[in-house]
Amino acid sequence: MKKIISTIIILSFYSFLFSQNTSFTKASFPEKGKELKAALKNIKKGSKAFDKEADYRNAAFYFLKANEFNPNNAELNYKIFLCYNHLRKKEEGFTYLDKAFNLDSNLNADITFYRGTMHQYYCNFDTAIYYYTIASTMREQAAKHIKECNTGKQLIENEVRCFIDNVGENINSKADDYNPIITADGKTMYFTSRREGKGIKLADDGRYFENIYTSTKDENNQWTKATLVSELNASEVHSAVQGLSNDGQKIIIYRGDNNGDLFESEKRKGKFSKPKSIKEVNKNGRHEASASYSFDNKTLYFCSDRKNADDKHDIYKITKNMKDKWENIEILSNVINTNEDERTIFAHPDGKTIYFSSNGHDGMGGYDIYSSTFENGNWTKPVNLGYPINTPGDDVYFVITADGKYGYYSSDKAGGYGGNDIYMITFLGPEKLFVYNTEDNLLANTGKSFLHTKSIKSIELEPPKLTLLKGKVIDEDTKEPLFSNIELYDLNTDELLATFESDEETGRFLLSLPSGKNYSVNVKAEGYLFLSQNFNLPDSASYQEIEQIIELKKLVVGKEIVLNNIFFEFNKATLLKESKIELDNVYKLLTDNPNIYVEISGHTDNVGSASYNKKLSQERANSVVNYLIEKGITKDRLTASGYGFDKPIAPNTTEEGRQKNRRTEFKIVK
Amino acid sequence: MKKYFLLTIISFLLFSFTYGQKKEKIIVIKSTEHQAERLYNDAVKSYESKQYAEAIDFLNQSLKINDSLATSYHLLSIIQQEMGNKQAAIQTLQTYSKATQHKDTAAYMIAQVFYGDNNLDSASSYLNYCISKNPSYFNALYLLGNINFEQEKYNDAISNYTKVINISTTSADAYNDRASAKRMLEKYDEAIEDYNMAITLKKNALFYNNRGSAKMKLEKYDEAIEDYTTAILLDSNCYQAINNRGVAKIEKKDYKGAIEDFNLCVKRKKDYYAAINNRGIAYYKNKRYKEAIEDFNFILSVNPSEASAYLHRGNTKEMLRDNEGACSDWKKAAELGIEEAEGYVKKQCEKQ
Repeated sequence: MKKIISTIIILSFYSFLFSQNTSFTKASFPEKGKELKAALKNIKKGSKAFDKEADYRNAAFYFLKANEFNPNNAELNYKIFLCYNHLRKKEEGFTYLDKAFNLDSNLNADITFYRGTMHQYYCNFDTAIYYYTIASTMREQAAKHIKECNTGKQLIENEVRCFIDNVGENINSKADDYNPIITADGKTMYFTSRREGKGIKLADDGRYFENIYTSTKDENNQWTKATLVSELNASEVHSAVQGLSNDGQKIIIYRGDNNGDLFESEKRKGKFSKPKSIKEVNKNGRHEASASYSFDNKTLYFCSDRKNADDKHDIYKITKNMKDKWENIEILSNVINTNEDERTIFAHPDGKTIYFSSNGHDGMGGYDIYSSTFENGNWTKPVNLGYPINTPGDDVYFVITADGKYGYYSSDKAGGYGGNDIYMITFLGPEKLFVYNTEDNLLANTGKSFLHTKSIKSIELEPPKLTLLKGKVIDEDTKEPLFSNIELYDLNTDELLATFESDEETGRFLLSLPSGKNYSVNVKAEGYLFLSQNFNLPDSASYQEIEQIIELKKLVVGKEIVLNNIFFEFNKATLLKESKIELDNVYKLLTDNPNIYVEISGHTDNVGSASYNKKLSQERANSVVNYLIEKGITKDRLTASGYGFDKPIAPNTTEEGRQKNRRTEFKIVK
Repeated sequence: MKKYFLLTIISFLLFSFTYGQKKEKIIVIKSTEHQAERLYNDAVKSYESKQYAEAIDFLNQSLKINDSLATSYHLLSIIQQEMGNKQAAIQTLQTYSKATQHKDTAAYMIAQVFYGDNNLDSASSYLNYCISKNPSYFNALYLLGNINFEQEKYNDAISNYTKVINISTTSADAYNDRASAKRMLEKYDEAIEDYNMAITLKKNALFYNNRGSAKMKLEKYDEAIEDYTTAILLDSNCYQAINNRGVAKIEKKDYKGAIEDFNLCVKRKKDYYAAINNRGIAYYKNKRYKEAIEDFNFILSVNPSEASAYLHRGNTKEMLRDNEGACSDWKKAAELGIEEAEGYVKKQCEKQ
């Protein structure tokens, strides 16, 4: 501490030698009466904007003009700092604070506190603590900041291993670029920019209106040149992207109307529909911003200041009812929400983790990003994501890919293309193993030394537990992309978890399947046989990506499909309850198409005798047919056949092959 | 004769009391009265001038005259060991054992030969025999403690060191050694108590170093650094303490200080690869990746099968964004048996 104080004294003395506080008076500028008058006029205009209108941008504009004439006035420099501080442009402001302090360290009671904020911002935590300790005003805030500085010291000591890279000029511009939002596979990004562009107008603050842009990754994994998503933007109002469904088919944007509201839009044939206000979420006159869909699109998390008189935001969630309408707004518990501001939210595709920014938890200053998981009906204590992801500045709008390997955020750090830029964080995981060598002569007289190795291992954090199922739905014959409905069921509870759609133009789809459920994924398109798949993912199933081309067969005679979600008791023909969803799909297909006649066939692997397998497969086919008859399908439309192991679709030499061969098929015969 | 015999025995006992702790001492018998002793003294002179054959001849003559002259047997066994004939040395001492009443001393001397030959089991058998004959035989108890330690029988070692301490309560070395045995049993607090006692009895660099290392185990890094520093002050060439202090500084995240220590250590002992390895790690921690690579390269140039150097170099290449290089090094480290490296290869090098 002594060292800090003496350094500060030396620096203050040094700067005193080079400049002194100069007042805006004739005595100071005897030869420049005209310029002085103009400067004083600018100060008056700035003060009016500052004090009466709280228009800090305008105030700064006039103050800076006056400062050009006389840069050595402590009071004016301090005022400029205050303007930037209100505008949350801390770094720009600190230059003026520093100048004001050097000109007159006793300018006012608050300057010591602000001096602390400056040192905190630059991670000089010990110096910051010194100023906060001696500050005579804002004691409560100073105490909070001291706590933040101590947290900051700890976080910097335990720096998160990652690379942070500017995503490059294909995305970033010389204007502010921020709010990156990505699809779960990290291949498509939407972001907000205040760049110049054809038809884009200037806002009141003299900068271009916010607009939404997109970029995708090319075959070399590089971001392509960003393009304006014109259908999402509106002229003369800010449009900023806030949330995106995992498959990129639904988007939530912020519009500056009505004090800030959220709008939703869906993709159709490659274009987003006209954004619609989410009336159930938007509250008149209140500010709603940042939103994120849950993995199944059935829950929407969002931030709003609806409950607080002081513009502080909390995180809420709203869920979809059976009619696909949003209802039941709930505020998240006080484990997540604090008395301060919770500003941004991102729900991870794993279905249980959220990332949010707050200035009310144990952070290192400004907004920090935290994660929390929903376990046993409660949110876990938020965890600070650590330095350098978090800094003493404002860290907001953080998103992370489904595999947890990459994150994106925006920052105005030095070295970018201008203003805020978007950066990619590559997480390197815990520290790698290092083996230190030490040596001791443990025994006094033998002269023998004992070599030791000390291994420093970090605890491996578990990667997200989910399966990312992605691919394309196409016509089996023409290979053309198909628009389809994709239903996601929990086979154990028969619950329809979510419905998705493949992209109308490309046929592409992307589903996140959090581990811990036995899923049935049913792909349906009009005029086609449905296709079902089974993904039994226990709690322990680790992250995986599955890419599939799903070929749907036209609903014509001769076409057959495997009913992947029909299950029987071992060595018996008794249907298991998990088969119900699949059987009901078959039933619906037959009722929707009353003119078709089908064969239900049973097949086995080659374990056991031919006669036994034939009998078993016949009985299993009979079970399916009987179920459908009981549901009301006429008997003459159904044929049950048991083929035993006569028609294998895979070699019986492996367990995987035998599993494929044990199946039930559905074939249109008439 | 009686007087002379007594002198011989006292001399021998004095000798055997220090035997096993320091370099062997040859005792010259101050007597010209008897021929066997004169011949022994002639043998000592020949031994000192490395005339081994002549010395053996004198000793054989001496033993012909007096077949229970302990010093002659002892010197003969030493010469035989130095000539590489340990079996002959043991036979000599076994002959002495038969000829003498001092079976404990003979057994201890045989144990010494086996210990020198790293035959710890046989050495232990003779020491146990010695102790069965004389339960207060200080040197036998001490040596047995050391053998127990080397055989990782730390509880037995503690028991024997305790007996030694009970015989001589001021034996700083025994306290140190018992502390080390306790340390190996991860009884760090008890170990520190014994090291404290050793230090109270004798200010010794080795004891401070060892206490520092016990404190390291308790993650008391500041105290460990203090002990290592005292060890270095007491013995500026105590390179182990310099190296160990560097590791403690890494733990304290004082990477610059650690690098300074490892540099000093290498200055004291040029070929001390442990310090070079540790310095590489400190460079890595200090984000001086290129210098870290240089250290790991150097280790691999000396020992191309040093698994940890491949691991460390791979870790460093990762930070230099040389993924291919990192994977190649991790693969090599995995081949050489580092399990974690195999995990890195699976996770970061194999295409998902």
